[in-house]
Parts: sequence; C-alpha cells; structure tokens
Amino acid sequence: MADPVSDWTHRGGFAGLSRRIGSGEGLKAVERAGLAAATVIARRGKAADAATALGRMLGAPVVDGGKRTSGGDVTVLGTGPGTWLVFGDRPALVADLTAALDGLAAVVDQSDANAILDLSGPRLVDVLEKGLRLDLHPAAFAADDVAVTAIAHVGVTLWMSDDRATVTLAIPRSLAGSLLHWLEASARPVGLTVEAD
Amino acid sequence: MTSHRLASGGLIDRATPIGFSFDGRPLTGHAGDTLASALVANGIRLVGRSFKYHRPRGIVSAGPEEPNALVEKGRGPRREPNTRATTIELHPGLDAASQNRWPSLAFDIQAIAQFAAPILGAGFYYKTFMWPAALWERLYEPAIRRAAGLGRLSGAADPDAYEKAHAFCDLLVIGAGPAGLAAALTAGRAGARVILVDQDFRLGGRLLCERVEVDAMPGPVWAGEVEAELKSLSNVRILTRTSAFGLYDGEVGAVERLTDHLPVTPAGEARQRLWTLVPKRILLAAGAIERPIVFGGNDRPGVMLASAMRTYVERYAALPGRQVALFTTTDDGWQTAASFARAGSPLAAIIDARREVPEAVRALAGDVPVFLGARVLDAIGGQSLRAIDIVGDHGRRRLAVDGLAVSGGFNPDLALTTHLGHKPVWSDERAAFIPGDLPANVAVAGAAAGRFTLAAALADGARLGAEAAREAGHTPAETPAFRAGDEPCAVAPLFHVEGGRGKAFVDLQNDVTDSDVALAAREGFVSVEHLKRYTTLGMATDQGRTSSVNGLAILAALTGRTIPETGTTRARPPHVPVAIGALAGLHRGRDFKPTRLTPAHGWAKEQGAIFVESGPWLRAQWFPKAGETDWLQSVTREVEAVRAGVGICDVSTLGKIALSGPDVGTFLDRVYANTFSTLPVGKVRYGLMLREDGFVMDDGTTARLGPDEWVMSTTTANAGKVMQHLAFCHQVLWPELDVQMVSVTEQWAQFAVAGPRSRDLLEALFGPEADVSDAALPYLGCTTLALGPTRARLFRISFSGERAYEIAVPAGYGDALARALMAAGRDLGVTPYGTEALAVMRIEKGHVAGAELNGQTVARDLGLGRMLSKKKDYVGRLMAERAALNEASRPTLVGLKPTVAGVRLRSGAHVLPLGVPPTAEHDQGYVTSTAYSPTLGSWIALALVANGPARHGEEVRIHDPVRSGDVVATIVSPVFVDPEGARLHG
Repeated sequence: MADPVSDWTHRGGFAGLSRRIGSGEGLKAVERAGLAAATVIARRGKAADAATALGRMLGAPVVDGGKRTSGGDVTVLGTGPGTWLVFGDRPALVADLTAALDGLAAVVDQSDANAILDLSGPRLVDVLEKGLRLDLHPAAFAADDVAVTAIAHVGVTLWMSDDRATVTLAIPRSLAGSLLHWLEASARPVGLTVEAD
Repeated sequence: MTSHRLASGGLIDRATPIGFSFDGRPLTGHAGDTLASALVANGIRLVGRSFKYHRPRGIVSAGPEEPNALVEKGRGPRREPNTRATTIELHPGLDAASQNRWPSLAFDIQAIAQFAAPILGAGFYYKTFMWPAALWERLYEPAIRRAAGLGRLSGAADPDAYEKAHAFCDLLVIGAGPAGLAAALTAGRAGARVILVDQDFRLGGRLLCERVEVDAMPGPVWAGEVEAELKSLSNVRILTRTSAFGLYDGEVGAVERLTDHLPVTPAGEARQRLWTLVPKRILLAAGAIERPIVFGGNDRPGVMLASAMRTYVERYAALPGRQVALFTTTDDGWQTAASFARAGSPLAAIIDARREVPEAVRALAGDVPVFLGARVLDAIGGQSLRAIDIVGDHGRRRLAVDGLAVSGGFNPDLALTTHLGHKPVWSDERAAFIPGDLPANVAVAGAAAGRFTLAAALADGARLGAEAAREAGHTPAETPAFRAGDEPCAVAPLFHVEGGRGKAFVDLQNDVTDSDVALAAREGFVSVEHLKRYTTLGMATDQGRTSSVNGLAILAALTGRTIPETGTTRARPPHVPVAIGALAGLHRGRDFKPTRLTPAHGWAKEQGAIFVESGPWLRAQWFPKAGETDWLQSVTREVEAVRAGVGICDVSTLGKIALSGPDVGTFLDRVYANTFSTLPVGKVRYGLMLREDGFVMDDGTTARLGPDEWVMSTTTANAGKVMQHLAFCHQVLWPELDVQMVSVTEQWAQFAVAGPRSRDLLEALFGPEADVSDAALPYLGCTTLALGPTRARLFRISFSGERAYEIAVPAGYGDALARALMAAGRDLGVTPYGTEALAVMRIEKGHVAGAELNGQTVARDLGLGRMLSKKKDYVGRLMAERAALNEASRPTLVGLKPTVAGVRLRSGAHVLPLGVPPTAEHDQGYVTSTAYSPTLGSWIALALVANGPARHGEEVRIHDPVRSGDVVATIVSPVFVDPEGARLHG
C-alpha cells in the first residue's frame, strides 16, 4: 500500500494558539516555526576549536560563552560550557554543522524540540518582568547576551535582536501552552497578539 | 460636613465625597481618606472588639501598626478579614464590618469574658483544658476558637488574580518620607537606577502629617515637587501602595496592592503583584512607630497615639476628640498640642511624665493646663473614653476628657534589617532600639536609624543616596542640602504606669496585660522569646509594633535586668500580612505547575481520551467508546484489541537522551549494571541503572542507531532524574570520558505499535519500499526509515509482551504520525490505547514499572539479578553486593492470582501466611501492582514477597485492613502471559 496519508503537516509548538487579547497592541508574539536547530557539544578539550569552526561557518567570531553570534541565516547561542544551540533558516543546517564540526563536536538535531516566540512591542519589558528573573537593562544585559533561565517554571533560552526591540524565547515545545498561560495573563492589561504557526 | 471634619485644611479632596458603609451604616468620606480617617471624621469611636476579652476598642494609630481597628473588608468571596482600617484607602462602595462581636458591636454577649478576666490570664487555656486530652481537639479547641478570634474567612475560592514581577536597581529605597525622598532624588539625579517603595498611596510619609517646611515649602508641597521630579527620571521607578515585607539573600520581597483601592477590580487585571526586588544597595527609610504607654484602661476607645492624632488633624482634617488630653514623655507629643490648637480645638490638659520640659517645647501648647511630673493612672469609660485619673506632684485628680493622646517615644521600624539574623541595639540616649550590625548592602536613614528630626532625616537621605549612586558608578553633581528645622525630640523613657485600677494592656491585639507579663515572669518565662510564646505578646497582624518594646521593658523591670540584657524577639518575614494568593501568583489550581502536552495531544483529545497526570505530562489514560460505562470496560477492550490485533499508544513522554562521543560505550558500561559497549549498530538493549547505594534507580533501553549515534530512553517519571544523574557522573566522576549528551525528549514524538498485526500496520504505513520483515528488523533491532517528508526511527521493543515496535518522528510530525497510523491501520482495526491498558499488559507480562522501581528494591528483588554484570564495574555494584541485599528472605517479585475468580486484589495490601493473625510480625510483603487481566479473566497482581520465587504455588492471605480486603491468593510466576516469549518474536 502506498503512503496512506497525503497530508504530513508539520506543526509548530504553538500551532493553533494564535490569539488577540484586549487591544492586542502592547505586545506582539510571533512564532518562528520551521527553523532548523541543533545542539552542538564540543568533544572533550575541543571547545575552542569548535567555536572557531562555528565562527568560520558564520563568518563572525563565536566564543565559548553565553553570547549570541548571527551570521547569514544562522544564529549561534552559547548555552553552556562548550555547548551551543544553533538555529538556522535552512533545511540542511544539521548536515552542514555535522560536516563543519567533524571530530570537534557532537551535533544533535533539535529542530522540533523548541517552540520559539519573537516578542516585541511597546510594553515588552513591562510584560517580561512579570516572569523573567533577569535584568534586561543595557548595563546588565548586552544585546548579544544569551540567558538560559526560566519563566513561570518553564525553561527558557532567551536572546534579543541587536536593536534590543525583539526578545526571543525558545522553550520546550511541550510547554507552549503553559508559557502562553503566563504570557496571556501578564500581557492582558496591555493587550497581546499571538501569531502562531 | 461630617461631625468631626475640620472646616479646612488636610490633604483630602473635599470636592470628591465618597460613600461607604461600616457595619451596614451608610457614611461619607472624601478622596484621600483612609477608612480610619473617615471613621474619625464621622465621630465613630468604637470599631471592634478585642481578641480575648471582647473589650470595646477604637482606632489607636494611623498606619500599618494598628492593633485594634481590624475589619472585614468586602463581601462574598472577596471578604477579607483582619484588614487594618488605617491602611484601607477609602473608595466608593467600600463595605467594611467590625469583627469578633455578636450580635452587634455595641452589644456583644461575649464581653462578659472581661469579668472573668482574673482567671483568663496567660496560659489559661493550656492549664485549664489539659484533661482529658482527647477532648482538646474535638471540644475545647473549637469552642475556644469560636470565642476568641478575629475575622472570618469567606470560605469561598479567591476570585481575584495575582501576579509576580521582578525588578533590579542600584538603590532600593524603602519608605518615601523625607529621608527616602531625599535619597531617591539624590541618587536618581545622579543617574542611578532607583526603586522607591512606600506602603501609602501618597508619597511623603510624615511630611504629610506634620506642619513642617522643607526648602521653605510646606512638607506636602515639597514632597509633591520631589515626586514630580522623580517621575520625570526614567531611571527611577516609584511603587506606591507597596509594602516591602521581607529581606532575603540579595532580594527584597514586596507586595503591591494594584486594585484594592478600586470599587471593582478591572477585568483581567491582577489584584496584587508580588515583587522580587533585586537591589545593589538597600536604604531603609521606614521611619519610626510611636510607642504607647501601659496604664490602666489604656485600651478605651479614644486613647490614641499622639502622632496618630496629629495625622488625623493635619492630613485628614478630622478631629479625634473635642476634649483631648495629652499624656507624653517626649517633646514630640507637644507637637500634637500645637496641631489641636491650630485646628481651633486646644487640648484639655497636658500630662508630661517629665518634671522639666524646655520652654521652646512648652510654647508649642499655647495656653493649656500642664501637669509636669505627672502620669495617667487610669483611663475611664466603656465604649468611649470619659475621663482620666492622673497622679503626680499635684496629687491625684480626675479630668473629664473624650480623647487621650499618648506619646511614649518612638520605635524605629527596623524589622527588615533583622530578617537575615542581624540584631538592633538599645540606645539609652534615644530610648529606642537603633540599627546595630547591618546586612552588607543595607543602610538605614532618618527616624528608622533613630535620627528623629526632619533635618537629620533629609541629611541622611541625601548622604546615603549619593553614596549608593557613587557605588553604582555615578557621580552625584553635589549632595543637596535640604533646608529644614531641627525640631526638639527629647525622650525620657516611660513604659508602664503601675497602680491603676483598670486592666493595663501591653498588647492590644492579643489582649496581653501587664499582669500577664508578670505571671509569665513568675512562672519562669523570662526569655523574651518564651514570653512571646507564652502570652502571645507581639504576635498576629501588627507583629508587636506597638507592644514588643513595652513588653520587654516590663519584663526587664520585673527581672531586674536592663533592656539590652533582656533582648528582643527576632523579627521574621513577612513584616506585613501577605495574601497567600499573591505568593502563589498564577500558579494555582491546574496551573500550579506547568503541564507538558505531547505533540499528538490534540489528536488524542479528538479521540475522546481521558487524560491522567503522569509526572509533568498529561497522557491518555484510556479512550472510551460510545456505550462504554466505566473505565474497566474501555481498558479491557483496548487490551483485547492489542492482544488480538494491533493498537497504538503515545509514548512520547518517555525520557530520551542522545549520546555521542568515542567513550559512550565505556560511559554506559559504568552507568548501567549490564554491558552496553558491545551493543552493535542497529540494536536496542534493555538496561538497568542503579543508584550509588545499589538500589535500582531506573530501567529503560538504549539503542545504537549509528556508530556514534546512541539514544537512551528512560521512564517518564525518571527522565529528569536520569539526565541529572548522567550529567553528574560525567562532570564529576569521569570528566576524562569524551562523551556528549543532551535530552531529545522534546525533539521526538514516539508511538508504540503493539499486537500480532503490528508489522502489517507498519508495512501499510511505510509502503512496499521499506523492509520491516523479521529478518531486517528482528526483536531488539532498530533502524531509520523514510516516512512522508521526514525520517522515522523504528525500534522493535515491547512492553506488552506482544510483537511491538516504537516509531519516532520529529515532534512537528507527531500529530500527523498519529493520524497516519490510524489511517494505515484502519483495515486492521487499529485501536488507540492509553496508559491503563499499557499497565494491564505489562502486569500480565510481569514487567516492573514505577510501583516496583520504588527506590527500595534491588535488581535481585525484581528478578533482574542476572542483569548485574560480573565482568565490569558500574555505579552501585559494590553496595548491591552487600549480604543483606542478597538474602533469599528479601521481598522478591512474584505474581498473585486469587483462588476465587472475580475477587479483586488491591495495591498496598499485605501478604501473610495462612492461619496466622494479621499482625506486623507475620508480614511477608506487599502487593505493588494490580490489574484485571482480560487474558486470564481474573484480577492479578505483582507483589514483593519474602522468598517469593521459591513459593510459587503456595496460597497466601492478602490482607488489606484499610479497605477491608481479606482474600486468599496463590503465588505464581510474575509472567502471566506468554512466558516462552513466542508472541514477542512473532
């Protein structure tokens, strides 16, 4: 029998959860679905070499630390010692990384593990402080800093755009609904728009 | 105009009248009033009944220290008991009621208790109701609670929402009085990040209540100017209606009352917000609280703190009495005389315990009868003060008054500085506890530091604000010098006037008198901490703000010690009452913890699944079909469908850990009790993991999909724990191993496909190009195959004992996979099954799970002893070899089958030999898992029984005293179904 299902729809973690709360103006949350992702963990003693190799791939220096480096369609986030979470808007990301890091790092496909939200809007900081136990003031959090933290008991990897106007949260996809519960309650007075996959 | 409202002055908005009710009586106040000030303005004296003796009580203070004026605020589910009238901001429709009285406030039957007062002293209940002990819980305590108590809870769920927030700053200023405002302004102007919190709805603190000038402006005007400037600074955040309640390591907890002052909480808004404030430095500028003096009848409505009287006159333009006397031992008390004189209602008399009072201070009072070296012996009255008896150099006399302002000195509000264990020190000069040893990043300014004049407060604030700004890397232009007077503030300590006839209260809120303190001292409770517990002095909502120092001063005098020798009780957070709802925030009910949903959750919901919590996950428990009336019917159908055909079950919740690196084999050999380094590519192996102490931690499988691609699966419950354990082993025990691992639980959606027709379903799913034959994929094989637009991982493993597979796809395709499996299996009658059917089948097959992997079992107990490798070392090996863990008498896994068909077995029941009494000494084990086995047509169980494997065939008693179960069962092999494994291999 041939493939009995023609519709192999790929669904993001926030699929079906689009909504508009109140004015919808205070905060905008847009799901970034369809990004490829991988965890990169350096082989023993190879963290510096792996960082260099990642940097070569991006065309921008990558460090072994909690920093974001963006290059082309790829974003590298330092999430632990010798560990990076890499996102890319290209289907071959995992294969490209595996080739670039041969002998230097383990590359594990995580393309479907995260649900990712870009947050922006005039009340971004006001809403975030209701869940985030981190100081996002420029004096404390550089635009290229990366945080691995938690919001409302949901594990979060957080980074922001160079102009600080967009804060991105990557969370375990199984917890998308729980994160939205927090986001909705926290943003309700100022208005929220969620645009999901 | 209400009866006691002054014609002019005050900070109320006379253009905005506000209607409210107290005990059902409609009254009017103004915007800017508190409930207390509105009651004062309406001439209402009697506001409550006391805790123990039901004595009539009035308003004592004008702030959060209020011990008496506790009311129930609101109605229905929003009724909030024990709310201090002095901190309730008046709002339209405010509905407040007095507490602890029946049938009415004015006529309270239980007030009879005060006549029994001689026998109701400290410890009375403990001493009297000691015997018989059994009656305490059922009779005495409920009866006492009815009589002695405060407000009533609504008994309904809290309808309001709460939220949490976090903020960071260079300087946190607690208290927006003169010191706090000066500090915030100085640091804010310098560019430091400042957070200023105040419990009031208006900034200014005492500046709002005193007739003082700063920089040639009236206090409230200056405070308003500072507020305007602070609001213009983007680096300054002002939180009004916010109480800082606790100092924790590096953090301050505060609660902001967002909507309590509004008639109706706007939809969608939180009522209160719990702040975690993370400052680099903290400046405590919380001011000081006036201390009453203990004398006879000092609780009569009309007796009030002198500074509070002044607050009502100056800030609220409300006159607390028309014939008011002042009993003072401080210079500050005389300021109240000045206020009353300005309000056109000069005091009736001033009684100062001191024999000498400076001329400048005396001048404040104007032309008022003054008694120096005198004391108030008794306050006389019932529901309102009528007179006072004074004694002094002039002898004894009675003065007819309707109010008495009392000023016994000031207690700096230092509680926050003591939350981390630091203690204040007693200053004889200031007759107060002042900051001693302080936490590293905490400073104290103004009255809170015992520097009681306005000029000192402003100077403190400016200096410490500048210091904090400099420390944060900013350069203050120059420390501003605010101009203000250094008003007189001398104090001669007087805590207690002995010899009065009436009861002299130390703690008004807890009805603790001077004689209770004396009784406690006589009975040996001479430590302040013991005094507090024995008499309840200093407990409850006011936390002893007006009572603690007097209590310990009296105890000191009774025991012949100084105040420093006697010491103080330790203040602990929270400093003010905090609603539990605020601490919970969003996390209540179903949202107590986050919930994890599998990628195919929506599909299961469409199928009508009943869900069950499994660790953090929701899993389908069973899928009822139309006409099925109970869970057993559905579960039995699901089991039969799997055993006869094919079923699918979402197992995405199992923990999945990807491992990579040259040393994975070595690593797995060390963390698993059995060998993994020999696992070939394309194979799966069942693995047993032990704790360091030799007991079983978890079981699961590890598959090797490629030379450097390993994937471990764990139980749902232990996924986090196993990941943590592996990380610990790698990072701490064997950092030399070149291993990389990461959880991929979220990356993969996984379904079990089980039953004799499972391979047929896979063939339909993958199509003819894919080879899923037994030759290509034998039992314990694994592979990857193209599936639709993605690649699937396929493992041939079984939990049910049937031919079975687990198929994994990237989570984004999880929902599609469920639908594809249903479509591919339609002709085969594919049946979705839930965790209950899964459990029934694993019990039938004798597989252990959470109930047996309970942290008390070793491999041998579970019949898994042969998995313990003898050829290698691994975590837990040595400890598992301990003799006691290898005795045959240990409870070991067996099956149980009742001798009478249809009888139900229950988990937790005890296993006993036949013919002995069911006592602990005969206990031989317990039932761990039970199920109704459709395959056997009988209830069956797994149990851990002493000498189990040697006793197959023996009849035992299954005793369940909790649920009155007592049945006979036969010990059998734990493998009830297909012991030869014929079905497994197909």
